[in-house]
Amino acid sequence: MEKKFKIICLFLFIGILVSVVINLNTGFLKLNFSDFFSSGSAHSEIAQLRINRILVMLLAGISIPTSGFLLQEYFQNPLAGPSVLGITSAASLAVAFYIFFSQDFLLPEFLQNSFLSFSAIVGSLVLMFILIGFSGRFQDKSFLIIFGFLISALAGAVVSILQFYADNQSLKNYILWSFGANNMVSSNQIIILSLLIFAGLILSFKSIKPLIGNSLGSSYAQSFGVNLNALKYLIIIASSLLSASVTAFLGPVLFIGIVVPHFCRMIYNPAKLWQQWILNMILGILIMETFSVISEISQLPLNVITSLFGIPVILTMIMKKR
Amino acid sequence: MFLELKNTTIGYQSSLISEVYTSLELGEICLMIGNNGVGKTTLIKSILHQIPVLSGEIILNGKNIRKLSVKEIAEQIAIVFSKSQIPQNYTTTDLISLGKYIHYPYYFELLEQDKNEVDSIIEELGLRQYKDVQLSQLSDGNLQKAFIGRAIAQNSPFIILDEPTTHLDEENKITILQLLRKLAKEQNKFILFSSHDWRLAKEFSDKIWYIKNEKLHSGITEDVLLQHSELVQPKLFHLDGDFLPPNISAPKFQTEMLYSFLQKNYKKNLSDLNFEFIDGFWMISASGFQQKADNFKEIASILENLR
Repeated sequence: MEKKFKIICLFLFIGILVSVVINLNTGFLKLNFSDFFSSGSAHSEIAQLRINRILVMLLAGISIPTSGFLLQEYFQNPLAGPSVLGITSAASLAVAFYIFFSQDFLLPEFLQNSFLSFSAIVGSLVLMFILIGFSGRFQDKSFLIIFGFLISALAGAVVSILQFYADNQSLKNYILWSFGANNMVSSNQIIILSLLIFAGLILSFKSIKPLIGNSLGSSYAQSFGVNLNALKYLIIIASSLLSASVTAFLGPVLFIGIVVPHFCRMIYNPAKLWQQWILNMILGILIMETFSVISEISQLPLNVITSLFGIPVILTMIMKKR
Repeated sequence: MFLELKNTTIGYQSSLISEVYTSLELGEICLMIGNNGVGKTTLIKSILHQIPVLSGEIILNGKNIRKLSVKEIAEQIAIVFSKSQIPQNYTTTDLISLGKYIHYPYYFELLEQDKNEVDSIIEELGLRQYKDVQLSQLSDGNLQKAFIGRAIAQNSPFIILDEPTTHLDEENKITILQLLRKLAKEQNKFILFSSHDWRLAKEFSDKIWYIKNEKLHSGITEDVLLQHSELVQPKLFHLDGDFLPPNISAPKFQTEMLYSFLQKNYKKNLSDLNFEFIDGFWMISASGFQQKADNFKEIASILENLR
């Protein structure tokens, strides 16, 4: 079994390397080797953009599947994903508010983008604290799913109202954000993004063992010494941080958060959560890098690509399994 | 004394079982009986310190459980609950390996020696061919064995099982009960299990905890049975002089098997028949007078098939 895991990882790593190289070479211009290494060369700025693109996809590939994986294992429900807690909706709502009400302010362009991400993060974090506040009063974890569902519905309604009254430019900006932007993330933003994700990953690391202990249900978990309350908060905070930060910078590209964990369970023993987590991250990177290439070639938004390509693949996998 | 209950009252808001004084030793197997809702599971959860005791104390291996951390309790007690969620993707090996969970800081990968131990437990339980089978595809009996295997793998001296034989057929019940007895005797474990199928289970236990009217009566199996006449099958008759009982040799613990077999195959009321196992033979007799020889013949022919 161990050997099989190593082989799978090796293959995925090779895949990642290939996709990264292809990704670096995809775009409007042909770049030379030197463009990536010397800052003085003609296209070094474009090279920097592409490197950023790859880094962002790497971060997204690590964080979104992790977030989905944690939630699926916690709720023991393969349909759970980063969107179930309402994080995406809260982020969308905050972004919508920001876009539709900021049209009268004149902000320099570089700030505009940052404020947009900032509002998305604030929106998600506010929701996260509301969730934590409420979840303490409810012992049943299915409450969290209901709560997330209600928040999503509410946020959707408010966003619709805002769209209804918005002017054309704001509407277009919002829709563009909701498509998932791929190559507009600056180096500074990447640093912020990676800090947030790093924090999320540390919390994820702490929650894997209690999650294993939780697999037989709460009575057994308690008898193994799992602190169920602590686990609940760990999961909420970790998955919120991971999904909110990516949503903020890339738009709602969370679909792979449901698909990747499912995929990983098909290729390796689903009971080994540590291995599953590692698989989720490397498979996530591979998929995000690949989708980024496809999105770049086809000029279609990332969000569309993930669904367009992801769903048929997962469907055929499920059919074959049955 | 390994487990001691001193003036313990347990329950949720109101007390379910009050003022319990009892104790148990390693190597003993103790059966807990009582009707539904008398507080068997509550008592188990109290011993695990998942529910606080209302008053008095529970002493585990010389220490009050209130002073023990959850992990320290887990090192002493392994548990098999009557119901739990069954993780769909787990194989038998995954489940039994989970017994090692508390001994690892991260539970990333089992050490070689632990893997071997898990393997030998699987072997011992006769689950080898189901080693890599998913739990959802196991029969109820094998699933129960796998959960017991997990508790064994935990290596705690004390194993508690809540209703381990529910939903099992007679044969599997006996296998599980034999297994529990073997564990207690050969590995010097202390086993506490509850069952409402006490007629069969009592044959395997050293002691009984009998919960009735908010009190726990404890003692050596035979004593408790003597003190509480409702626990013994009512003696409705004595040996009838005219009757020649059919001879069937069966081990003592199969009383219940025989009884349920007759219940299924013999449509008439069994309550006024008596079964006794004397010198390797079943003696069956009726409360006398009206029940006549043809009834007995019918039973005899049913029992012939058992042979």
